[in-house]
Amino acid sequence: MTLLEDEQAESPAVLLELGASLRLFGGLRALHRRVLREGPAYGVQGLAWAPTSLGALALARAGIVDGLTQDLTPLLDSLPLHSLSAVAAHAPMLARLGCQRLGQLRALPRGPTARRFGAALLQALDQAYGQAPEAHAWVVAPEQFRARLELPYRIENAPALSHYVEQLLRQLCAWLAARHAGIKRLTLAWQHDAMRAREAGSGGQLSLGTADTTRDFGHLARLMREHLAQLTLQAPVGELSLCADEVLALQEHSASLLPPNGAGSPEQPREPLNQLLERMAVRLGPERVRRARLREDHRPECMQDWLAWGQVLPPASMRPALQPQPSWLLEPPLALKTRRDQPVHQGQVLQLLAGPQRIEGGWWGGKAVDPQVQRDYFLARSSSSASNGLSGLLWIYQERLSTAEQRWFLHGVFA
Amino acid sequence: MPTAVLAADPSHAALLADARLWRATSLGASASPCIASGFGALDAQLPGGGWPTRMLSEILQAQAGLCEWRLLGPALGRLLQQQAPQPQPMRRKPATPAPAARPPLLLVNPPQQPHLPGLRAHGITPQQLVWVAPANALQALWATEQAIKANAAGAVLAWLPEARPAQIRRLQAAALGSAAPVFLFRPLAVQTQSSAAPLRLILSPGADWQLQLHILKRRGPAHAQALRLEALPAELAALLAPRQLRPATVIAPSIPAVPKELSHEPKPAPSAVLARPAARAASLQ
Repeated sequence: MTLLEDEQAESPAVLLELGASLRLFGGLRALHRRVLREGPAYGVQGLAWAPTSLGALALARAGIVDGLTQDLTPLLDSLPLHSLSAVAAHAPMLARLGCQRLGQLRALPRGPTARRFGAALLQALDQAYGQAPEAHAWVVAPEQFRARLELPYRIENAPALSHYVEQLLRQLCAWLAARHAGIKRLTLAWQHDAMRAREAGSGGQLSLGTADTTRDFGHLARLMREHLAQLTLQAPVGELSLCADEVLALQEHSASLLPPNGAGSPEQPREPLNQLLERMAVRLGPERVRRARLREDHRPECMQDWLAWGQVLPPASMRPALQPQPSWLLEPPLALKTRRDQPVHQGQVLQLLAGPQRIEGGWWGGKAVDPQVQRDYFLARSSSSASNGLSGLLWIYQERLSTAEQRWFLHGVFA
Repeated sequence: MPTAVLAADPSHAALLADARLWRATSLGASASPCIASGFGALDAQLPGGGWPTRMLSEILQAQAGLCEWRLLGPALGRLLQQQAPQPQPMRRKPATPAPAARPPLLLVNPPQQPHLPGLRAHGITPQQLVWVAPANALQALWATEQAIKANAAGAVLAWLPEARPAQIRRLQAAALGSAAPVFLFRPLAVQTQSSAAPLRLILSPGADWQLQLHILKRRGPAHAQALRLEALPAELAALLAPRQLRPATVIAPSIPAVPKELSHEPKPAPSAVLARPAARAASLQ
């Protein structure tokens, strides 16, 4: 299937040569119904079928749909002159000669017509009637994607923009499919209406990035809806534009013809994990979906960095910590009251079971960045049997050489 | 027709023995694969012989963040270390498929920050854990529902202290399509509320490093006694002295009070002093 776009005419047209691909689309009738159903979303106003491309173009301009089941020649004969752009250029002269229809034009003698109007006119006529072969320059997708859409009315509410943004996204996905590429970053920009408050500015923009290179329309639409739900517009918007910033080649895997077997294989996820985490990051905030990166450090709070999930680098091999570590870490550490120099947590005196483990470090960073810590860590347990060890297994520490009032802190729980 | 009458008739014996007939006194079997919990006593009491999939498992605790990993660590560690079975594609050249890891754990709204060096002891590596920290209860519910519906995580653990029964019912409806286990942690106060989760447990730390489990609700007969599971992390066992492995019997239960005024009474007889801890220990058992 190949496309040709005719941009010189007043109403642009798209010619598709489909003879080899009809089975893929389920036959002629199914394809016709599908174009009629989905075409208006893209602004398609008319559709015509014919054995030749110029003939189909002429029929479409005249409003006739079917040129395949009937004979093409009588149909074309009855069409007015402006149906073919090569003929329309000479239409006033031909009208003075008494030619109103293509059939009358065809009846004129060929030699004098060619000498008077040029060979291009006769060539177009022959191609339309199927008597000369046609050659076209087929469409190549442009290098950059930039699309604009003028809204039919001014919109003040950001979620109401999603319908129009989806039209632009559809164009983007079609362009990506033509170039066998996927997108990683795109920018949606909007222009405010001319009648606006001065401090509103002329427009704004929103940048959307995905972790995986994708051209999945559904995923991009969902992400865009999440972003728009959190956006407030400063002034009514009259125009939208979409621009693809980062486009990379996308390798699609071919689907398997065999169905997945029932018992053995795991169920395929309904939504890939990366897309789920991206949606969560947009809705909750990018810093609230976290993954850790381990660091080698003796101080427990520095043993890992929690980064936004898209940023985590591939792991280096880390040596395990020397002593057993708790599973929950309280950040910042909880100061414990003392009763007779024994640390107390939730009203119960804590009993020290094992320790002390002395941890010192951080002297290299300077007081502001990395405060130096000198701590003695103990494994502790609530000592009252009535509570049944309600506090669980705690990991507490005592600050060494500290003159502060409270020196015992709870840092972790062996949960 | 009462079962006794049915059992007496030999023609009905085959009917009763049919695996498709479930009697209310027997422990239900689970249609979907169950995850072994790592505790034999618990597996024997759970329908299906392990933590269920395609449904919610609700765990109630008096205080969040006390002993979740001691209970779930063995099961989750083993689950994450299994390689995901790949469907073998038809290829002309037999290519060695790269082993795919299981998808990671999702923790939604945990009570404290997870400490990965400690979780490594259970077999959970940093790439296998994603921490989602929503700002309020509504966002926590939304995140849990999306995680369950997407069916993309290896397991979902969610702490929902403010969830209502209608919301739990909605999560259970979503969990019917989730092949991964879903664990909800809720406060102990909701044990009297009805809940749509088919499995409900009360978890508390017990004496002697044990975990105490009451099974509130399961697909099967009610379980009256508490289950006691030995759940001391192995590395801690190396740290503790042998007498500390049985602290309830050996360690004095409370610090003796200092008398308000120093009295010059003679010290009590040594036998009485020695007898005191033992007597207390005897009262405990």
